[in-house]
Amino acid sequence: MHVTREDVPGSGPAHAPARWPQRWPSVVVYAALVAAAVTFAYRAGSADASVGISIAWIVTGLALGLVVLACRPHGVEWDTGPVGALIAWLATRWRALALAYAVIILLWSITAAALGVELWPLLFDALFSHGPGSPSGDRNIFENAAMIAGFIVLQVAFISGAGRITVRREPPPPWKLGLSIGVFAVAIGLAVWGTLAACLQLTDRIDPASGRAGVEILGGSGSIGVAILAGCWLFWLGVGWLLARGVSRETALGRMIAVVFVGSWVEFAVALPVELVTRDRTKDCPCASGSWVALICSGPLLLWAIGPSIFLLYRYEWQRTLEDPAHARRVLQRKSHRAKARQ
Amino acid sequence: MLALLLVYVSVDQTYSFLRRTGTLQASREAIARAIVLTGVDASQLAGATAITRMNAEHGCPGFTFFESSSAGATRVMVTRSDGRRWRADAFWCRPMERDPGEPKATLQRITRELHLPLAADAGAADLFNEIDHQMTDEQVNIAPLGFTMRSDLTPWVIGPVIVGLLALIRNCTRRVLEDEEHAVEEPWLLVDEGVGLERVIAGLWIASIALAPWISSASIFGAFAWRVYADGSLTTALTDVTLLAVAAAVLLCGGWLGVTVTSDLIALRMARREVVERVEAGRG
Repeated sequence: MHVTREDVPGSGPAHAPARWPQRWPSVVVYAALVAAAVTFAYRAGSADASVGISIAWIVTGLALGLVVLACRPHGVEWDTGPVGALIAWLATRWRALALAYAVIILLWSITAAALGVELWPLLFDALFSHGPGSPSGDRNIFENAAMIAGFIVLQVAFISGAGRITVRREPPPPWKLGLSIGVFAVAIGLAVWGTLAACLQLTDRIDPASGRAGVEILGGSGSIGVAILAGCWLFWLGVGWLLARGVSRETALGRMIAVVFVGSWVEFAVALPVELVTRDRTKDCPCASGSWVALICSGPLLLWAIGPSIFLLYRYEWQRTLEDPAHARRVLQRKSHRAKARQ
Repeated sequence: MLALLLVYVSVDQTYSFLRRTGTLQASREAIARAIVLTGVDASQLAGATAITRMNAEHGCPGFTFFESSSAGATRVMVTRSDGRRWRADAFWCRPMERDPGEPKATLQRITRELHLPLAADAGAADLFNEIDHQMTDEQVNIAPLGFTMRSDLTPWVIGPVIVGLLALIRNCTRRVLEDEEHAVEEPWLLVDEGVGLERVIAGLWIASIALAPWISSASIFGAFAWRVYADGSLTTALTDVTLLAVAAAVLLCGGWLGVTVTSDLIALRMARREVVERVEAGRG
């Protein structure tokens, strides 16, 4: 099998123009998603005063997404040189990383059970926030099983896109990655929305009782949270599409998962200190806190992003071995050198 | 090593914010109850120009998240002459807890916990004024940098300093990486091919270099949140956006530097290994 340089995840820029002549399927899919988002946000944000602002957020997200697509018709350059050694080092240890990931998921589940967390993804609430006053004893087994199943299904959907993984010599049309791009946009849109909520909480502009001009992003009759989420989703849909232009499927997935991982990590880095400092103000109802919402979003997002990342590292290592048969021998030699040194 | 020491100071400061937030909130809720029960007015609170009362709902602890209960509360908003404005809820989950002497007793307990001077005839407002001053205007001595500053400003100083230190480390690492021999004669724990404990320590050290800027930059958000919490609505929207942009820039620059320094150190370790292997092959 012939594997080109473009098949390496996150490798250099896509110089070749995209080879799909018909773009109308992309336009139809994008337009349908936009219509669905607008309808959903309109129905969710039913308060009269917030409808105009909701539409403004959605239109802004859509416009920015289209601008991004229009500005870079041949995709983007993505130079992974500065972190190339780190990626290569991680790729050679994909088995250890997969094992560590399994241990993390196990520990997450055990800790959630030990702390009496009602819903599996809400572990960070029990760890870092005030959480429920006392464990209710209700394990919500079916809800938790459904959530875990959904978690895995989303990972598989992201990796597989609109079909099975194949090594292509030419870039696939982005609409073949439609499902991956949709999942990517949901994940990073949620991370951005959560970070915005945490920043609003930080500046005390999320609670109308503060008397400060702000954005009502959480619950309440005037909330425009759903519209902001829809706007973020539309914008990142455009960005995801851009990241997938003119590169192989695995390069596109690698770029997207890197963005999701960094986005959720930044969300966590912002939300945790803000939540720790401000949690006394919202101890009666943590759900009224933007940092609390951001924190409980960031944990599952980080956990979710690690899975596809390890799979893509494995694929990267596998392709390196195909490209350079001496690579596997060198890795084995280094391992035997270390074993000798230990003796 | 200096970068890691500074990160420790940042984490210590954030921990201090956590403790002080809890204490400040407890004292504000106590004085809010005193305002409702004993009629403490604006003239008794330091710098206060107005006290506004609003009806509100407040949740009661001891219930699960999905079965939360709420009690009627009086939301007290205190405006000060310097623009600071804070709010707290006066609420009682059980009616028998409405004791006029309770707020003063709570404030006396907090005063003792903070080791503040406690006058026998001090009223609830006097105690609160002392606690509020101690909590919001405290200064700390930054030993590694050798000066004293307001505690919530330390992460704003330490974050950019760590970014600068990482830029220096990256510059040095890349210079060595570009060198043909990669300074293989020099012992360097982080990039030497050690075994056992040496290898573990080197790995932990590299990981801490990668995480250091994230921790120190996250502390900036904690410090910012603390200042907003303590002062209330003192800042304008433009100031908030500017400060958030600066904090985000420090976070992203520091994060990128941390990752690239780690990558360069790994590259240097590999390069030095190749030099050693080449020399050994030449001898053989």
